Amino acid sequence: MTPTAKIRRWVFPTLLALVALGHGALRSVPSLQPSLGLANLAVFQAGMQQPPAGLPLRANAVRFAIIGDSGTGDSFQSEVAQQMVEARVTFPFEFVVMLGDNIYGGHSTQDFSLKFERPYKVLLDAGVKFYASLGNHDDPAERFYKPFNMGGQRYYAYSKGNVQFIVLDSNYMDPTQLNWLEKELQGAASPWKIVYFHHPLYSDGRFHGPDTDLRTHIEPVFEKYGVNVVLSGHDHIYERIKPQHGIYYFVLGNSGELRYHNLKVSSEMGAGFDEDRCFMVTEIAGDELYFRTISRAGQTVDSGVIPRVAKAAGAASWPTVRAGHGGLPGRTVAKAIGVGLSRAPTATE
Amino acid sequence: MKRRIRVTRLLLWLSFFAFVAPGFAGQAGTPQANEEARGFKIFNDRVQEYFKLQKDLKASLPALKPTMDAAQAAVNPDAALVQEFQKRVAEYVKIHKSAGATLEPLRSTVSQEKIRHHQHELREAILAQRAGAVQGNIFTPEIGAEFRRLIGIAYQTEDQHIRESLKRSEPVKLRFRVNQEYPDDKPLQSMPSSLLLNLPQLPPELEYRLVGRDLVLRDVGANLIVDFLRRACPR
Repeated sequence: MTPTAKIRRWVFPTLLALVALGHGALRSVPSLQPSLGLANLAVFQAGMQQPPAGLPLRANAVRFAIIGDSGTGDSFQSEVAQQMVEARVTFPFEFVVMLGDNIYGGHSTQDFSLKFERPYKVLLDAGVKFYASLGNHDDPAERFYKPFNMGGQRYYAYSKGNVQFIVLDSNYMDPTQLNWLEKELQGAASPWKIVYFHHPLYSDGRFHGPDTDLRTHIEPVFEKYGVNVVLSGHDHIYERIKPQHGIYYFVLGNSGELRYHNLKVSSEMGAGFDEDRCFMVTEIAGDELYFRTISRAGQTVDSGVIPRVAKAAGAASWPTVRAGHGGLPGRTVAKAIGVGLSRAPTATE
Repeated sequence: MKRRIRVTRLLLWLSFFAFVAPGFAGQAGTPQANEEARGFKIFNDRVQEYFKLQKDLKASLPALKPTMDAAQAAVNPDAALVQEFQKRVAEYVKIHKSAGATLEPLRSTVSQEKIRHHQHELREAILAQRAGAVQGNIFTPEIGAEFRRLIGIAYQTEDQHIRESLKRSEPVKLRFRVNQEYPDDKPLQSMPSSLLLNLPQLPPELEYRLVGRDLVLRDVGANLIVDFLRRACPR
C-alpha cells in the first residue's frame, strides 16, 4: 500500500472522530448551545403615534418609565431615549426608575453629560425626575449627583401616590442595609410596594443569571412584608419572570447595553426579549399595574396587567399576569401572538 | 506495519466509544447498571444527609453568638482579633473625620465636578496624614488569618451561592496598593451578602470590596484603598 493510500484510509475515521468529539464538546458548554433566538417574535406594530394600548391613562394613577444598564453614551442609548420621549407624548409618565449601571466607564463631568444629560435632555427639561439605583459599574459617589435623586444615600425610599418605592444597593447588601430594608417595609403603609436594585434574583440571562446568594437574604423579607413587584437589571436582556412566592420579577438591563440572543428558556420565564434595547412604561391605577415594554424601534415586546393582592389575604395561589403581549417564541409564542394581536388581555401564564 | 495501523485504528475507535458514544447512548438501563445506580443513589443520599446535618449545625451557630458574654469574648482569641481590627479601623476613621473636617461637607449637587473635587480633596487630606501607610497596617498577619477563617466559615455554609454570586458580579482584575485611588473606570465588584454577614461590621466611612480573591478595605468617600488582604477567599 502506498503512503497516499494509507493516509486516505485514515481520513474518514479521523474526521468522524473529530466531528463526534466536537459535537460532544459543544453539547457540554451551555454558552455554545444554539440560542433559541427571537427571530419569530411577533411584535405588535402599534407605533407610538397612538396612545399605547393597554395603558388606561386613569386619573390619579402613578405613571413612570423604567430603564436599566443605560449609561453607554452611544447612539443606541439615545435612540431608546428618543422612543421614551415619543412615548411620553401619549403616555405622560412623571418619573423614570433607573436600575443601575447608569454610567459605564469613566465618571468625569463629560461622561455624565454624554451618558445621561444629553440622551435624556428632553425629558430632564420637561421636568421628568430620575430615581437611580447603583449598579456595579456605578461610582457610589453618584448618590450625590442631584439629577439621580438619591439624596446622598446608597439605598433610599420614596412614595408616589399609592406606591412605595424602595431602592436598594445590591452591590453591598450588608447587615445595616438588611435591617433598614426590613424596617422600611415594616413601616410602609402604601398598598403597592415596589423594590428595585441592580442584580436580579431571578434571570434567564446566560451571561450573569440570578444572584442566588442575594436572593437567600432578601426574598424572605420581600415575601414577609408583601412586596408586589421587584425590578432589576445587570443582565442585558428583558425578561418577565412568572410570579415567585407571590412576587412579580422583571429584568430590564438592555436600555443601553444589549447581549444579543442571551436568553435561555426556563419554566420560570413569562416573557423575554433579547434582540434589541428596550424600556418599560408602567401605570399603577388602583389595584392594577399596567406595563408595556417598548423596543428601540418603538415596537411593543411585552405588556400586561398585574393585579394587586394583599398579602394578608393569604392567597394560596397568586394571580398571574394577564398578558397583553408575550415576547418569547416556542412554548409561549403562539399564546403571545394570539393575545398580542387580538389585544384581549385574557390569557394567563 | 499493517498490524500497527490496525492496532492504532482499533485504539482510536475504542477511545471514540469510551468518550463520545456514552453521551449519545443515554442511560444504559442494564440490570447491573441499575443496581450500581441504586447503590450510588443510596451513597449519595447519605452524603447529602451528612451535609444537611452539618449545614443545620452551622446555621444554629449565629443563634448561639448573642449568648456569649463579654467575659467570654475577652478571653476568646478570635474575638480579641476582631476587637483589634475594630480598634485599628476606629483609628483610621479618626483620620478620615479629621481630614473631612477641613472640607465643606458634600451635599447633592448637579455638578459632577464638585463631587469629584470633594473626593480628591478628601483623599489628599487623608494621604497627608497617613503617607507612610503600608499593607498590613490594619490587616496584620494575625487579623488576616482571622479574616480568612471567617470567610472560610461563610464558604463552608454558602459555598455554592457565594461562588455563583462572585462569578456573576463581573470579577475585576486590578493591580493595586495601599493609599491608591480605586480606578475610576473599573467596576466595583459586588460583595456577596453571605460574606458581609460573616465579617466584622464597618463604620459607614469604610467598606469591604473584593478584587479577585483579595479583600480590599476601601474608603467610600475618598475612593481610597486603605488596606488589603491577599488571597482572602479560598480558590
